[in-house]
Amino acid sequence: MAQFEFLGRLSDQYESPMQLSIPQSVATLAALRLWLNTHLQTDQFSQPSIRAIVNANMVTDTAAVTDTDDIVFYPPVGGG
Amino acid sequence: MVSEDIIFASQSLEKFSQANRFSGAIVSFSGNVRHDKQDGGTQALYLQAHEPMTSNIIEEKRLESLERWGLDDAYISHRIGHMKPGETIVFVATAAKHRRDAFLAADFLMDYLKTEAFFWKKEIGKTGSKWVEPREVDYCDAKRWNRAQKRT
Repeated sequence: MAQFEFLGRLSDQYESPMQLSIPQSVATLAALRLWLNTHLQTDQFSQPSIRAIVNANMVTDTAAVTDTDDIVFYPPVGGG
Repeated sequence: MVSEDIIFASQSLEKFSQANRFSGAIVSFSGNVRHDKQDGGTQALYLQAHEPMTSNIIEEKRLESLERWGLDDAYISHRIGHMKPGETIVFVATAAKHRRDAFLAADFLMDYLKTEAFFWKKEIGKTGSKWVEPREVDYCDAKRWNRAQKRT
């Protein structure tokens, strides 16, 4: 099972942390975005402004993902 | 430093100034929770972080500012959790031989914190709450540092 964490406005929309089993056919972050859209009945994971951290590394859509990863999705950041 | 603890900006400045009393210039900035009158006003602010990534990257930026402007010291304290109007969200202080470097470095650090630091901010009002993302002007401010060079 992969562990998902959702931050910012996403944390109000989805249980966080959340454990999900990622199908073997989902091998990249780009594919994971599409799968999450279907699984969570949304389209927002395809938005470029929603970025991801996999196993504590900021990654791009070509990054590999597996069913044992810690995956964080987050909207635009900003403090101060 | 990222913490839920209340920031006492005047005490932080006093401590920083004392530690850097031989620097020629000390600049500090405090960002506080506003009480906007629109929509009944902000009742509270909630700041979320993603530790340890938030603190680690802030430290990288602090070290970058030390090198880029040849600072004697730089200090960043950022609050997370719930806070009320009037309370301090962020405190930044820089110490340098000359004022320009201290001003520029503090400005650079604040632009970073506003647009790139791993925080998410929610305003809580009487009629509801909303997550706040950086404004276009914040991104424009931050872009200045991509082309700006250190003063010689």
